[in-house]
Amino acid sequence: MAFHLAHIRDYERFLVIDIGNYRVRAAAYSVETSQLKELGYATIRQNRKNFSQGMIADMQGVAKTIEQAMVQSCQSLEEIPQDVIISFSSHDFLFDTVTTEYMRADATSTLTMQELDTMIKRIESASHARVRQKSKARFGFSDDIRLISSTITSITIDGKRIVNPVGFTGGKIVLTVLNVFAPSSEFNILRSIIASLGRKVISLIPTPLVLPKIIEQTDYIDETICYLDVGYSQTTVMVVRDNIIQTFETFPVGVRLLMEMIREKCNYTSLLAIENILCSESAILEAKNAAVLDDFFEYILDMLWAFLQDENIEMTFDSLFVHGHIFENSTIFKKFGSAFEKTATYAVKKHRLNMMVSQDFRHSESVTYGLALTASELLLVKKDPLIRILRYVLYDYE
Amino acid sequence: MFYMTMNNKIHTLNIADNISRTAAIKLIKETLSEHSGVILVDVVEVRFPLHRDFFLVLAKKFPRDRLRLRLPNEKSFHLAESLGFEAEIIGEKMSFEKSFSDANIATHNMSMKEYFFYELRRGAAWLRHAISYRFKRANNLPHYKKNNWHTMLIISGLLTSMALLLFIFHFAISKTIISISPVVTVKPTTVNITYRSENFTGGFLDESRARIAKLKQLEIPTEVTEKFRVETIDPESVMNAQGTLTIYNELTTQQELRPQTRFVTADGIVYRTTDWIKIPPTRSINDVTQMGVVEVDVIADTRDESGKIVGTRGNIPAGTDLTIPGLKFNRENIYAKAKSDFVGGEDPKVHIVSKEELERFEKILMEKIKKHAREEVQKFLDAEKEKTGQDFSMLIADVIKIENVEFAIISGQKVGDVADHIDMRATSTVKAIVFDKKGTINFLTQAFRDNLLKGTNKELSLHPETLRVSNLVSRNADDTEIKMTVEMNTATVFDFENPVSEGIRQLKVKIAGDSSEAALKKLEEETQIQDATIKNYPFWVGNVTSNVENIEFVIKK
Repeated sequence: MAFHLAHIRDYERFLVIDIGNYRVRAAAYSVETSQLKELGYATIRQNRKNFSQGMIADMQGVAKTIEQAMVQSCQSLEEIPQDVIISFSSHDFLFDTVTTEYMRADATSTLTMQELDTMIKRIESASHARVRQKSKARFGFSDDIRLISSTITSITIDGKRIVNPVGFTGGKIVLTVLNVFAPSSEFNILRSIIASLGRKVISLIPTPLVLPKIIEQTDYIDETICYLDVGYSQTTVMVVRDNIIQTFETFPVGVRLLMEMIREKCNYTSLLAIENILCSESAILEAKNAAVLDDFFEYILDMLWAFLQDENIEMTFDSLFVHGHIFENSTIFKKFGSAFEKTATYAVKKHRLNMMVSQDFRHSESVTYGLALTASELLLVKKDPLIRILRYVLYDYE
Repeated sequence: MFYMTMNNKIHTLNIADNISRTAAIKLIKETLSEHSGVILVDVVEVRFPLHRDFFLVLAKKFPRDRLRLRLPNEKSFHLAESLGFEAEIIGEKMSFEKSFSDANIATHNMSMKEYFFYELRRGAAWLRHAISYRFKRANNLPHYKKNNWHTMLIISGLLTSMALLLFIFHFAISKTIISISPVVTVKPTTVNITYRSENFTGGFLDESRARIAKLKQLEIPTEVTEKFRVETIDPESVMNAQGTLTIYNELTTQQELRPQTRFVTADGIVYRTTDWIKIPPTRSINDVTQMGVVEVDVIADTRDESGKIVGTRGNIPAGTDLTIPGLKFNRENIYAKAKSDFVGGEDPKVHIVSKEELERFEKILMEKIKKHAREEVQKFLDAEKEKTGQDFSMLIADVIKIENVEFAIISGQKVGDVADHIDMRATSTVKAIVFDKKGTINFLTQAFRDNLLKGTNKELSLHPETLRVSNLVSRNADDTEIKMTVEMNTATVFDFENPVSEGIRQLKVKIAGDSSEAALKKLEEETQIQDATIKNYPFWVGNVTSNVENIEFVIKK
């Protein structure tokens, strides 16, 4: 379903939920005088049985964890906000970047959101067909896929690149939209979980799209950036240049592989012990652990470069932004940065994404912060159409 | 762990199931460095997921043209191909080769014979594998439709309806009909009825308690005729035989017989003398004994000693011995012989009407009248029944009197007249007392039905043909009123068809739900039942219905 401005709800307080394989993170926010304010935050560990090979295996278990996180994050509030924005992760994301250009009948009239609505709607089905072809080429069959989000990544009016086209006049419009698709089965599972929460969903945001959101307000916005989000069972690679998402993909490999490698190699039986190694700056440097870590990094980086090669992305990165709990261990972060540079054969600026989260917030969880930013922007779009709507056009899901 | 096989210039590297992906990558790296040419990497059995990340790493690390991948399914096959790898899916043949070579290793130093048997075994194993593979592939997964709950709802609804229908059918429709041959009880029904003559207007129509029926006195003139054969013989017409007898006297004294002395033959024919007869004694002259002999003429009697007419029988031949029955003594010493053939005997030709015979005829006629009188009365009653519908009957034996009997010879002869046959007529008045049979039977039927125990016993049949008088209570002189005890046989059975009978209901409860055999056994134990057959509806139901209301007793006709 195409985006319509009318779909955006009116809210002031909202909840942000980041559903991960390892943890669920929930935060309550309010938007007051265009300012985002955090009201509460909580993180709850997922039960191991809730996920299997990176996919939801127990819907009720996941719903229960989310509810716990919601309740805990709103402890200080008199009531839990009704509006929720939720992250959506999948290692079967398929995206399609569609560029369309059209001539406006009246070049003197101002561009409106409704006009953009109509154009996005037109290209949706063509994008869907292309993604199905891509799926067939990749997997040998085209799964039942569903459009999760559409993002306007670039607009040019009469050759001039515009950040916010609303209010501009012009004849020739070139519109680039990034459509993200995921298997319907995964979407339906998440929808069932959301339905059980009894909240009004603002939107579902594919997690990879949240990553660049976090640095939008920083100086890095115009750099060529490689984002790497290493989660528990998934790793997302994204390339952004000039604030335009070039490509991204989520792979079903994560810290869990590292933990299994450590267990195999070092004969550890306790996962807690392994977690402790990963958290310890010294323990990870022990020879056998370090060797395993190197192998893991090698795997990840080989995967990353092969992906970039496959996508014909030949660019030199200015910055590397990493995200994931594993990188909170500065030793691991440093080691990875070095390994990246070694494989890239050039130096890059290495950053941890959670360091980009504003100091005003009590937590440093990047994804929840990014989701909150998205939700606040969306609200502002409704209230003030002149605000930048670039990047995220969100859908109302019924 | 892993093993390599060589097939021409392709090295096969089989990655075992216990190897992690990073270890597998290392193995491949080692193999590639050790061997030139293409390496066929068999990852069919690996346990780590074969996603795009693994193939990307392979693509990054190793030259695609040196790697060939053997993959377990189509998805991984397409993933590998999309990244430029040469890949193959393990198929049926591959799967077989793998499993066979795991179990049967061909060594380099096999003899021809050994290799031949090796190939034979392989061929046989391949056939078995191919057949089992076909059957495995033939198994189709059940397809779960999106809106399956609709189908389930319909199916459950149908099943519920079927169950309800069967339930209703079982209780409402299921029926047991038991055909019973009951024990028949036959006993007489007895009533006292007063029969009054026609002047009395009572009878079975009267509503008073006394049972009064009609009685009629009939007078019916009757006449019978008969033709008789006259047997009385005119003595004048018979001719008696005559002849000469020689009488012998063996005694030494003279014998004297008086006239009409009888001389009888062995057949009983009697001859008589007419005069005195002197029979000289037996003398001995010169030592020669001379019997006393005399000859005499005799005449035969008309009838012999048994009363039969002699006639020509009297013409006895010469030499016939005769005895003298009148002699008290010496009958064997004095006897006679026919000297010559007797002649003159002739059968009588003329019958005459005698008084005695006439009396005899009258007696016969009288008997005939008596016999005829009962028939006449019955004929009269039958005609009356047909005409008026009234059914009267002679219930007792001595209700017929015959009066005013008169005899007449209607052929015109009188006593003494010659005649071989005469026709005679007897006229009389037959007086009979008849009783209202219909009324009698009605009284008996009423009495029987009044005494019948309704609900328990049931009338089976009445037997009017067994109507009889068991006792003559009273009879007045002129027979205008006769009181009698009459009886009639009636048959009853136990009323099995009475639906409200408590006894029947108890019986039904007793057999409800039992198997047919058990129920039959119980029924046969009942004294009122001779035999029974059970029929259950529907036919497949083997037991008597549990619903007592649906058990029905029917008496066999």
